[in-house]
Amino acid sequence: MPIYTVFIINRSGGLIYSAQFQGSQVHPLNECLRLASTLHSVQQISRQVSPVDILDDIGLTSLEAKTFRLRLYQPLTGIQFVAIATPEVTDEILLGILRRLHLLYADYALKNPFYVQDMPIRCKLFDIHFMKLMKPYIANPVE
Amino acid sequence: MQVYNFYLFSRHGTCLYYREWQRTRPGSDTQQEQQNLIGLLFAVKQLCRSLAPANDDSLPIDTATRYMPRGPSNFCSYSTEKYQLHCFESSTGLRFVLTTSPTASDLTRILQRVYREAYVECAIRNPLYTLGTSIVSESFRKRLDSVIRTLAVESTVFRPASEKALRGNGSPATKS
Repeated sequence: MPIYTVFIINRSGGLIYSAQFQGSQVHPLNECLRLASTLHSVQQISRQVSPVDILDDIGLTSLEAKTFRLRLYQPLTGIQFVAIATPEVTDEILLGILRRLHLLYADYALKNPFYVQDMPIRCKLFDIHFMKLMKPYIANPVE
Repeated sequence: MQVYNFYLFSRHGTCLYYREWQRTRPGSDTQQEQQNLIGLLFAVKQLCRSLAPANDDSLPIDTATRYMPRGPSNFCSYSTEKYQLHCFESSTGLRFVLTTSPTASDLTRILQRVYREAYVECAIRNPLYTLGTSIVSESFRKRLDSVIRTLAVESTVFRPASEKALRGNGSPATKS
């Protein structure tokens, strides 16, 4: 049950971390930035077209396609953690991974004194622990 | 399960039919909302195409259509915490969109039935209907309602004991 792609998107829709694993289409970084901001705006609009009360709805949280499943986790701070996996992976598993990713983000990016909030994450410890987290779910990392 | 509303969009993004059932939040501007939704669907289709895994056979490979999505879509549904939106896109570009409460499973089959039993029967086969105009036919509404009603029955009644009752309800209205 591989995971294809992981994105972390900041509050304003900018991509701050991305990882593409085996099986996904390999996009250049600019393309990834575009995809992330598209996803962010889709989430905002999905809130506006809601047929029901939108008071505490954050918008799109999961998306199913024929060949993959996307899960988005947004804690109260507004940052978005996105994982794309094969359709067999259940929502609960993906949500669990994203919650742990949120912990890693808090521990190794936010607590890093050289990290500026909402900027791309370039922290060695974060990379190491991220790969450790992802290892059971991927075949061979591309990059 | 609750069924909120249904949209039918043409290939060019105009809304051909709209119907609502258990919608709780009143829409302020219907036309604006439909435009928002079709824009959203275009974006989601393009997004799904880019995010699909590399070995996805259901999609065309040429990159020329990447920014303006044409051809088959692999998008099925998305859900928020409050509602779920299902979309079925026919090969001719018609989009059948249904919103329900978020517990629903895959409803592509239901939307295919709407296409088969309502759209083909009451719009395409209607000699007075011109393609691309909005549908005003009363029989379309009735057939749409009957398909959606079977959906509501199927999802609320899950015990095998009531299977007979379910079959008894559904068939006369939906068979043509």
